Amino acid sequence: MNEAQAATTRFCARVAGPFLIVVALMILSRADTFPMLLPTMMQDAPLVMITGVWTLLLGLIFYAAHHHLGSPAAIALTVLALVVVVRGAMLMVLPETLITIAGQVGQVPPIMMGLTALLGLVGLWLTYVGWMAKKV
Amino acid sequence: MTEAQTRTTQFCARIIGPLLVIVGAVVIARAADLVLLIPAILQDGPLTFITGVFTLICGLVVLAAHHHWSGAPAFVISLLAVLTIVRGVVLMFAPSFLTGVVHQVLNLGPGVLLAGVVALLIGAWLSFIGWFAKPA
Repeated sequence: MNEAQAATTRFCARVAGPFLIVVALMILSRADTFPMLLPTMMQDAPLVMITGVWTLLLGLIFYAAHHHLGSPAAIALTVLALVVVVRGAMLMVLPETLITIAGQVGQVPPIMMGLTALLGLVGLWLTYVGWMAKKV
Repeated sequence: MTEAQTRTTQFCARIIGPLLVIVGAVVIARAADLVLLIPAILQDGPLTFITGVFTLICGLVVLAAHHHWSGAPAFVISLLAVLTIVRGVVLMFAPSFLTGVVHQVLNLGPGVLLAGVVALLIGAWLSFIGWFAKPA
């Protein structure tokens, strides 16, 4: 990984890390209402389409800026960028499939809590890599 | 402030300045509409949540790129980044808190117009710094 790639990984980790922490904390703090939020959102087709457009755009910018795999943090960020691209595309093309998946995950609290904990831990690790670690 | 930091401040001012000018002008021109529109947005749970997600991402991107505080423009840009992050987090965690604050501001009468004028002036100043002023 060259110097420019390391700088890009650090920058992306500084954004993605705190974002994942906030998302995980939000899901935990609103665990009662969060499973209802996604199905409610999915009933609003224009909102789903607009969210898909912006998510896809964000994912494509993220992937265009960061698509190298030179370290564990770089791999995690590149995979995350691809996940954002796929999620954005699915929100636009196959919203029903996403509703089904989100609904099934939301109905099994251990799986939802496990995924949330994983998000939080990855967020903590990326925040450390972005803001504190000397080497990415 | 290093040369790289000065360039970053100028770049951020070129984006945030015109954005605040347009937002300020819209607030002044459509103050009567916004008084009805903002509470309606905040009553829409999924829309508020998605707005919070994208607001948080924007704030984190600006703060990751610009987190130095030397000089008035740099201070204002970093402060705006932090405020954007806080607003995104509040929209995701406690939208009802924000609804209460918005109701109080809207009931102040000229509060909305005043906010629009402040945004317009800060935007004009940052636009000048970004596009016309010679770097210090």
